Amino acid sequence: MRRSAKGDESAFTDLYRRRQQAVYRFALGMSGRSDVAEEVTQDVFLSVIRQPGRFDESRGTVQSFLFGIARNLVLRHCERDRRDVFLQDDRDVDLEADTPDVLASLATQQTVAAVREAVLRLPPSYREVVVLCDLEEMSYAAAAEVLGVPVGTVRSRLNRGRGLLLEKLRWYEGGRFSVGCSA
Amino acid sequence: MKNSDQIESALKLLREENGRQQAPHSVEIRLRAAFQEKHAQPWYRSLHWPLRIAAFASAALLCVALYSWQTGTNRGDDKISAVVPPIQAESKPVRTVPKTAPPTIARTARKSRKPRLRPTPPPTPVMATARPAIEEFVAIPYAPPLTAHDRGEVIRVGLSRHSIRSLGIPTNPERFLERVPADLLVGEDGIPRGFRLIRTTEPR
Repeated sequence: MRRSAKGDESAFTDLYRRRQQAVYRFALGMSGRSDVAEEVTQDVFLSVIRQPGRFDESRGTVQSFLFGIARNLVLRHCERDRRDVFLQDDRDVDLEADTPDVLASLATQQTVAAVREAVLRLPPSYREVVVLCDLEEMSYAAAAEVLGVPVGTVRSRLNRGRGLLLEKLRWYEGGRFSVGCSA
Repeated sequence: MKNSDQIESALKLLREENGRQQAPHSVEIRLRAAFQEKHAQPWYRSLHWPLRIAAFASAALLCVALYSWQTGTNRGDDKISAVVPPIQAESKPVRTVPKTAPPTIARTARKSRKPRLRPTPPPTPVMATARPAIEEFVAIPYAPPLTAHDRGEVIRVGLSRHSIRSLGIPTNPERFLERVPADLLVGEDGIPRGFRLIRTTEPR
């Protein structure tokens, strides 16, 4: 980042190639749209070019810095494109309980589509922890740094998010779902 | 199967699918163009520092040389302006050419332009009993020369000693404010080309 801020193009290119995939996947997981993911990725790195002094090493890592910008941008997009209002399921799901496999009857591609749609149906606060921790395999501490919340909050939101995900997958198994960026 | 395991396996599938996703190559091209535009350097920054110093030193020397040349040229202009304007500003036409002072310019067919040789009243004397002595015309420095076809006239004026001194003729500084009769040879364009002092001599 330092060399890139001084005008070293090769350093910037290296930074982009190493980080763009994670940023893109995060934006895609949050929005469900490749065009939004592309725009968010571009805007994140444009922000790095135009305001290189914004990154402060003492405040966090490069990853948390980039994801923080991406998160703000993608939430802004989803807010603009709001179509559905979430109905939160207040029932707690016991993740340790044994139940029949809800996805057993689905083919892999259908499963992927179903899970993706279910993630998009999650409220934003749960969706982002599921995307960061489960899809991007980020640690609780790193996710807490990106979201600006305590680690305990990340754990509780992740637990709740997974429960909601399971409920939505069961709902999907019933054959009803819709497509789009839902905030 | 535990609910947590079901979720984990489902998310694993999605994770593997997403692992292949990345931004299109066009995003990288646009970003690199934006980076180059942001960090575009002036040409001299791409030089090594000895060359950079040499380039700046050469530019500085060139500026000094230009300034010196310009200053020298302006001094020359000052000389010309010192000669011409004082004569034009301070002279007072007294009379036309006296009989004994033929002009050194070509006579033309136009009667109105021709200097008239006619009896003239006596000039305003500097000393009551003095008779004027007519000398040759002296060319005024830096004045554009007259050609054989140019027309002009001779005008009797009273030059200040300050103006005479600016023409290169030494004068008595104690009599700086006094005026001396002189003839000015003035071209058609109104610019004086030459002058001659009318020295007064004591009658013997």
